[in-house]
This record gives sequence, C-alpha cells and structure tokens, in this order.
Amino acid sequence: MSLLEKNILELSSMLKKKEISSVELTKTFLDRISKTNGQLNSFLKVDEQKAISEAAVADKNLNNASHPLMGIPVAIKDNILTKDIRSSGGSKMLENFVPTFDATVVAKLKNAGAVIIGKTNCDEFAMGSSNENSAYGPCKNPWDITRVPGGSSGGSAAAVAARQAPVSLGSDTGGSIRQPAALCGIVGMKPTYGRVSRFGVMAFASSLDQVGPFGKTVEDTSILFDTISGFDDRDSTSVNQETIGVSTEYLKKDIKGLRIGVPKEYVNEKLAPEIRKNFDESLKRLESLGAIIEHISLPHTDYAISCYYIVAPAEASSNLARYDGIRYTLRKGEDKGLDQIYIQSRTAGFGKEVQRRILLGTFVLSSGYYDAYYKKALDVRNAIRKDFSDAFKKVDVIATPTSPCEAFKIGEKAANPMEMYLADVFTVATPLSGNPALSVPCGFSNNLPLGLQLIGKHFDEKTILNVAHQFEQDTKFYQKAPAL
Amino acid sequence: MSKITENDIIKIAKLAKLSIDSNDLAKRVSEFNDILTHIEKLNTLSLDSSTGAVETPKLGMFEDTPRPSNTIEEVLKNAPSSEKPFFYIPRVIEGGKS
Repeated sequence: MSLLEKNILELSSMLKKKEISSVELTKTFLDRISKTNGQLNSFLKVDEQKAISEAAVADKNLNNASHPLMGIPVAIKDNILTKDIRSSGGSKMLENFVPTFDATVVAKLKNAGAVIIGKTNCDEFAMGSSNENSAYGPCKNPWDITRVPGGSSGGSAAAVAARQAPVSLGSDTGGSIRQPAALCGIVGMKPTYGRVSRFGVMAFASSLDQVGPFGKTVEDTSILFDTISGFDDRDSTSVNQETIGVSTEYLKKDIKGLRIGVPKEYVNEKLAPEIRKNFDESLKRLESLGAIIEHISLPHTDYAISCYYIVAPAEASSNLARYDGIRYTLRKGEDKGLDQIYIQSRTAGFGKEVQRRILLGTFVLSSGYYDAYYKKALDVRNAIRKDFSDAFKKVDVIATPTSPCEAFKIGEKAANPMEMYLADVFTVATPLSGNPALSVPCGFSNNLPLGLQLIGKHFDEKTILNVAHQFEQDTKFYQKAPAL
Repeated sequence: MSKITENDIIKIAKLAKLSIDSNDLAKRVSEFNDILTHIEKLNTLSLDSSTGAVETPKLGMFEDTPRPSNTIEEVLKNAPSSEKPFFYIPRVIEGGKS
C-alpha cells in the first residue's frame, strides 16, 4: 500500500520504527501536492522548506512514546493563523498577511510534533458552500474536477480525499466541514461549541464558529480531534471539559442497543430519491449492527436556514468591521482621507458574497428591523436548541443525510445565492444548537460520494465517532479513493 | 415586510463602509429581496414563552492575568503603512500646519 493511503497509526508506527523518516514522508506528500495542485487548487500556500525543516525536528524527537501525530503532515485551512505562513482566509483583503503567531489549534499540533504542510483553499472568510467564493479561484472536487468540493473548507476536504495530506483542519459555521467531507468522500466533524479554541481563527460568526478535523477514516479524525481540543483561556467561549483522549480503543465498542433518531423533518418526500435510497440503506446497515432506529421530530427544522442566515450575517457584519485598511489589510484610497480608506479598502478587498452578507447583517441589526429579524432569529434559535435537547432525551444519536445532493457542477448554483444557501439545509441547525456532528462516507450516487450525518449530545463526540467507526468498518467506503 | 429599494441598499452600504457599483445595484437589490423573502418565513412562526426554555452551557470566569503579548514590531509587521510605533493614516483633523 502506498504511503499516501496509510492511516495515522500506521504512519506513526513506521516513523517510530524508523522504517521511514518524517522528512521522507513529508516529501512524499509535497510531491503529491506538486503533481496534483494544478488540477485541484486545493492549496493556496505551501512552504516546502519550512515543512521539511519541521519534519527534520520531528525525526530528532521521535521515540516510542511520541504522540501519534509526531512527524505527520497536516494541512490547515487558510482562515486559521499559522506563524510566518501567509494566511489569507481566501480573501484579497489579507493577500499579504503573514501572522506573527499561531492559532491555538496550530500550536497544539506543533506541540504534538505534527508538520504543517500547507494552507488550504476556502470560501472567503469561510462564507460559502462550494469554495467558489475564494478570491484565489475555486478548488475542484478530486472525484470530478468539473464539480465543487463543497465549502467553505473545500480545500481541506479535497486535500485529504486526493491524498495530498493525511489529515487536515477546517472550520464549520453552518456546515463548512461536514458538507465538503460528504462531497469529497471523507470524514469531517464539527465538535461541540466550546470544545476547540478559536483563538487565532478568523472570526466569521462567533456564536457558531468551530474548528474541526478531516480524515480518511474515523480513527484519524478522532486522533486529530483530541489533539486540537481542550480549554484555552484566550477564547472566552472555551469550555473546560476533559478531552476524549488520544487512544482510539473506544471506537471498537459495538453499538448494539444504541438508539438512533431519524427526524421526520429531514427525511421526507422532499428528499431527492437517490439521497433517500442511500440514506435508507445506511439506516439498514446501522440496524444490522444492532442500533435501534427511532423516528423523532425536530419541529423547528424548517426555520433553521432562515434563522442561520440572519444570525450568521449579523455576527459577520460586526466581526468583519475589523478589516479597515489600517492595521493589517489591503489599503486603498490612501490619498482621499480616512473614510475613503475604509470604504475603498473594504470594497476592493471583499468579494461579492462577503459584501452580500455584511449588507444583510447590517440590515437585520439596523434600527427598525432588529426586532423583526435578529431578535426573532434568536428566539427561533432557542427553539431549535430545545428541539435537540428534547430529542436527546429519547435517543443517543440523530442521523440525517449530510447534504441534499451530491457534488454539483462548478457554476451551477453560483448565480443564485439563495439556492446556494439551501445546500446547507441539513447542516445549519447544529451550529445553532451547539451540538457536535460529523459526516461519514455512506456510498455513491452517479460515482460521486455521499455522506451520512451523525449528530450527538453536547460534548459526546465519542458516541458519534464510535457509531461512525462501526459504520465505516462495516461499509468500507473509505477504501475507495478518487482516480486522480 | 416592504421590499428593499436601491436607496435602502445604498444607505445600508454606507453604514457598512462599502460602495456599490451603480451597474450592480439592481442585481444586488433583487438578490437581497430574494433572501429577505426566504428569511421572513420566521415571521410565520409564533413562539410561546416555553418554546425557548433550554439550559445553555455555562462559560467559566477567567483570571485576568497580564502576560506577554505581541511586540510593537509584530503588531506593525502587516500594517500597510506605519512609522514605529504608530500606524500611519492620512490627517483626520482639519486645519493647522501639515
């Protein structure tokens, strides 16, 4: 088996036994990136010398007790700050921005000895569901380069699917890890709100944003998740909870008797037939593994998209006020006074979708509209949260499709923002409620991968990872890779 | 809700420190109204006081302990224009000698 196909524990074992070095491993992935990035545009920045030098340090430190990520390359979404490596967030606004510090998640990876192999493409400031809103051109889906990889963490998902990196980090505000994981045929998880520090992550919607892992397998995803999670007093929303631990033994537990809820608002006649068929087959597999399928209701599901597209733009309009052309961004209008620096820098630096969301957010927060939109959305958000809280009194896990469709063609939805927003229909509710959720490969439609979404109780990522692992080992969809 | 007009968009853009190309204005208005039509679905929902009663996670209180932060050199490193230890911007107060 090629090194590119191996999982983290296999690679770690080889590194510890000195069968390969981290430098050799890193060069193997760098070579893969160099051969395939022209087709995929999944990486925006790769600093080969820096990666090789980090790998050389890992080689010196490796021993039998080393963390499983020591010496392993990890790709990082470009909205996560990496010291001395340009971090643009997919925006022209930060085209020349080179951070002077690492995000906490990156610092944790470096402490574990991981090698930062590069920065991955994404929708500008994580706003999008297709990666077409990147200022540096769209990332392509490795299964079919005429299609989108999903978004906003499209580059991170495509990189793992295309074997350019063993694992990667993304961020999820409305589905930006799970939807691209589904569309690229890999595993991706949005952890519980508060589980992973956002210090050093470009803020989009702070009450929703969460950093999370991508991997080819659930086990890889679990290892990466454990490494980046934990309390950080530099993120005021960080919750002091014990991490799940680096051991993945818990994944082997069977799921007999586990209650899996299927919400009628997600799985009904509106679902596309091929998605429905695949989902029903996935449920049968879970039943065959001993899980008990129960039909449940999440009554406010139909309002989740509307709620999300008020709350997220409102917070974005506030968060993105920091991009002012003064301190660390693109500057335009220098000779026309301060106000014109703000206006011209922001107009030139932000792409259309980011501007659209800033305008929408400014509108819903403005005097005369605040109560009708923003306050109402907060009430609905609480109702959605209560839906999940009530449902989890009856079941242990909730299952839904991750995406209403397989990967769509580049340009197919780009002209209609509302149609693009509806691509998030199955993923927006959990950031609103704070619950953890992941996507695990569950088959193919028209030779394109599909994802099964598993939603868990707050801080109970272990259960959804356990179910996903059992499902994955039974179905083995993870063994199929795109022919790139 | 009433439909958003071109003048409304111009006003919102002004508040958000953005400038809208006049050739783009009609399209922006149309997209904006499409989105509003969808999100106004929330107004068809009536919530009683018990609907939102749910426990939210409790955030901890942190000690406010001083610790080293970025140096001035680091803070100014990405500035488009600076003169240590300041960011450089055009004059904002009228009058006086330049």
